[in-house]
Amino acid sequence: MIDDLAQSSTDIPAFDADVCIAGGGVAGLTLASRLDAAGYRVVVIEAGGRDVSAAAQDAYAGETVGTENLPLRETRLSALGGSSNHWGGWCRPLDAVDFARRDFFPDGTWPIGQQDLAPYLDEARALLDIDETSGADLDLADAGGRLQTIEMQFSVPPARLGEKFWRSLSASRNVRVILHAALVGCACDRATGRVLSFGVASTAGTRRLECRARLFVLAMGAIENARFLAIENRRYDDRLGNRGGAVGRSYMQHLHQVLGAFVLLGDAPPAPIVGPAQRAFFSSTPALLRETGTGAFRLYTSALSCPPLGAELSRVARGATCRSVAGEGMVLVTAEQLPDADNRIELGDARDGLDRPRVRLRWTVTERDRRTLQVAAWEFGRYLIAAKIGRLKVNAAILSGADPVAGWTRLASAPGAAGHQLGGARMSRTADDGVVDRDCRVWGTENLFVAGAAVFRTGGHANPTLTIVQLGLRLARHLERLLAA
Amino acid sequence: MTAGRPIDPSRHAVRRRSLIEGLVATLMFPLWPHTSLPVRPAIVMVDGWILSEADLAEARVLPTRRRQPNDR
Repeated sequence: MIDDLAQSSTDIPAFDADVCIAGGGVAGLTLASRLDAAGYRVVVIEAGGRDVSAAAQDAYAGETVGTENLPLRETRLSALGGSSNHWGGWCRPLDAVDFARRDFFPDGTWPIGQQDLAPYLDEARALLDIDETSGADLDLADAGGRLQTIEMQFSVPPARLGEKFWRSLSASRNVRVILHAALVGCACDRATGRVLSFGVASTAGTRRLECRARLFVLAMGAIENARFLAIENRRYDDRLGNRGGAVGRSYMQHLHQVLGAFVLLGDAPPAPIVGPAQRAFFSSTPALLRETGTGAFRLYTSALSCPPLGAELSRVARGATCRSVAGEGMVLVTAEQLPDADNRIELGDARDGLDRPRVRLRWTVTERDRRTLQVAAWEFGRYLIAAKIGRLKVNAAILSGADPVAGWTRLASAPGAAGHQLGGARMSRTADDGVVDRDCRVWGTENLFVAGAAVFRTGGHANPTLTIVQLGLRLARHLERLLAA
Repeated sequence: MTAGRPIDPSRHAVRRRSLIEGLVATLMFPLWPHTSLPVRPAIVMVDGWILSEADLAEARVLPTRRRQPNDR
């Protein structure tokens, strides 16, 4: 059943559910669909409607401080299906190294491992309509163990989960979706840490609801989840996962920009990299991360245009290596931003239409992040030479540590960050250094959970949607066990 | 107003190796993972180009060249 709180004629009676989910995006709908199939009563409150609207998007406006960032209002979508309404369908699960302890960076150690999400991979692929893959994970003999080719998977066309589930949600007897319904508070028993209800308001603020349930889930995206917890922790004295002050901390992005342009030499032998007409995907190896102490990265060649560089290379190298230029292309990088506690989601001074503090996002690309990009450039350049493929001209912004500049070194599709919002309610082994436990339960609470990329301890280089769905399916299984007990 | 209390920076800093860990690491040096990576030939960067030393060495041999059909 789908209701709309914005339509004043709609009568929405009190609804007691097994699970109340705030947020009808990728994480929320994954949970709802799985719990629906298991026969549990679920209410999903979604601040947006079936389509994106300026009114619903307004709640996403906020302030950014630090490195130039993608606009908060445009990178997120307040509508059923959430960011799946504009994603590109790129998928890859996190690698084992992303979960594991890295000696140079113990703060990144997850309390779960890749094996905990592996059982949900096939179901996650099916849910996202993944039907295309590219390449394979292979060591590159000429890369000295430092680069590998990797498989990428694609949801083709990109699954729009709001539309995909619209019919089944409309017909469902177990799930009630309430559109244009914003989460504005929660009632919590201070003694037990048990959440009793979610307070809901229509986007215009004219109607109010109280949703009671046995279990509650925050699935509004990394920034909104942290914003809500920050607001409520003012009332509940940091009892909602903020004992160690971790709410909103260690927000992460994926750095995403042009790494450089390459010239293919005519006598190059067959190799995994091929001309700019074909995409090829590479990544750092775990051995390289141990060697350099940097974040993980992924590279892919692209047919995007760049200025002719063969003549420039001939001037620089004085000709001997570039007698026969066979082609040119670009290589783009998507890199992990290692978590930094100073990159944080906090509450600003401005207020939204429901009188809630708007978000202030402090985000800086650190020297360590820039070094990740530089290592990527050096390794790819070395590989092109060793494999006798060609030569790389590195984006000057990556070498200098400056922000990307205009021209071929800064593309609209690769503006510096990928728009992936991670962290802010990170998973942890103890209540002192994170917000949720290994089951995504908010520390200090009995029945409040977080779904989505907010719980990522580290980001790896993989696009996050597939992992979000895996985590959602795993959380659904956990909630089923709790409800059955 | 921030989202939470100031945090203990020591929890977020890279942990320093203890003396014993350092000693073990030294003794284990041949088996330490990253040391298994092969040493690579030197490369240089000139005007943003990552080049081999041979690229520059050949430049001294061939300071000029004729224009090729693929030149743009």
